[in-house]
Amino acid sequence: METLMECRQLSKHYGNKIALDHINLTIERGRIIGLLGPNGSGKTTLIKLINGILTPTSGCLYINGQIPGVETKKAVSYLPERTYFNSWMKVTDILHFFSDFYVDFDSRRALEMLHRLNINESDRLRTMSKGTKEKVQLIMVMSRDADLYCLDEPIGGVDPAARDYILQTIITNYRENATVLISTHLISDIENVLDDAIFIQGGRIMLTGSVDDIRMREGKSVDALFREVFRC
Amino acid sequence: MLGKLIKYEFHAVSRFLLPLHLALILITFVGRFYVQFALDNINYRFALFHVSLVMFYVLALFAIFVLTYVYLYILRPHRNWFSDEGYLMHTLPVTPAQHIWSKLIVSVCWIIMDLFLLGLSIFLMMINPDVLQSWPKFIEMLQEMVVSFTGFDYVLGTITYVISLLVDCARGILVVYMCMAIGHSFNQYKLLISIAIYIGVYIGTSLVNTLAAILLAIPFGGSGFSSLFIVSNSALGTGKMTWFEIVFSLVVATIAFFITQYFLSKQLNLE
Repeated sequence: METLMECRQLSKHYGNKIALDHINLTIERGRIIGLLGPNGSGKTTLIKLINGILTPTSGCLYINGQIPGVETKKAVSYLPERTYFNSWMKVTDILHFFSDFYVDFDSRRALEMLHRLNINESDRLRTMSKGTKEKVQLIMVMSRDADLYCLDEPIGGVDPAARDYILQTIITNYRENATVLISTHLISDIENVLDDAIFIQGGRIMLTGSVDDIRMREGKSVDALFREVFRC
Repeated sequence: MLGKLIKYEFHAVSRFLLPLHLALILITFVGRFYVQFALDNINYRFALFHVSLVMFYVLALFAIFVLTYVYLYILRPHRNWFSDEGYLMHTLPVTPAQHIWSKLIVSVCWIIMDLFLLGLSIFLMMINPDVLQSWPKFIEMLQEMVVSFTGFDYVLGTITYVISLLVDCARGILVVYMCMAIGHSFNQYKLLISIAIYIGVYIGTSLVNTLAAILLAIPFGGSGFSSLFIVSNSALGTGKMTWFEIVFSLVVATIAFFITQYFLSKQLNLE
């Protein structure tokens, strides 16, 4: 399989706190990967480093063989764990914004998803609930034809019914040779859609492998293994 | 991509600044009609009320001026680059230089617009037959001021003065961006560090300006603080200080631009 992203001895420190500790990781194309770990394990830090909004303390990170920059930002679609749109923006403003800046943005696909979720294009974000805002953000991110989708806690703030739709959206809206990296601690909800899992704790990679292999080797679900590995 | 960034920046900034300046236009028109009415119907019983209104107008003008500057220099770049919005802006496929240029261009345009509207407002409020009569004298005085400030003839002096104002404005904005970008690369006390750096840069640039004023004044007969006073008031009329200020501002602006670019691309730290 072709390598999409690679971390070599990647570290990130916040003052004295070590968020990522010399991690080595390779991510292939065409996979749905769960980045799994408890709170504060380094999931968000890794995703931010991939997206170039944090810079590494040491080590290197490559996407399509390039360090994070303009070219990698064309290839990576990022859903942060917070709302990053202005509250005064209408959904149409956001659609135009994404169309203008991302050549791989598919407005038609975005509109279809918005209509299916009964989200009105003329609504302003400030009139929406937190869950609806998250859906709008996810729709925009998944309407790009990116190589790598980085979704940081995409199902954390929505109800269980919407979770199913969001997961379905993720599965059906990414290209075959693209990879989806989903960071979450709600493993049972996403386990069925994952190809691979990465366990991370204390800024270190504890385990990587395909979900099928993990199930076969350990004789338990990824969720059960997670609870065992990260027992408090 | 720069054009698109400028388009969205104008749109976002105008959402705040346009109503603010429309309010200024409204206050000016209402004030103008009121002044005319008060002049036509002089009644000393309302003197206190008239004075209060004039005070309100002056305060409103001052508030609009300050709000425009604070918004363009501090609030907008901080919110757009270093708060939640930064997660969107810094993941766009654009270079840090394009981010800086887009903000700088839009800010300078809005400051020009702000100064023009403030000037126009004051002009409209003050205009009356007496003022119109003494208008040529006022223009003459303005020309003399430009000549004495810059040290050039009126035309060259005006051009130099406008260039000097624009460069100075860009320098001010870029220095704030630089301080913010450096401050936000730290894990803690980002705001305090930004302010501390700004104070340091301000003191440093003021010192260089003062030294230059002294050095440039000496060949023209002055020395020490007396010459500093003369030059800082641009009474010497040699033009040397004007050129120095433009070149110095350009140098500081360029340094601030590259440092901001470096920190946005290599030291970004959105936690």
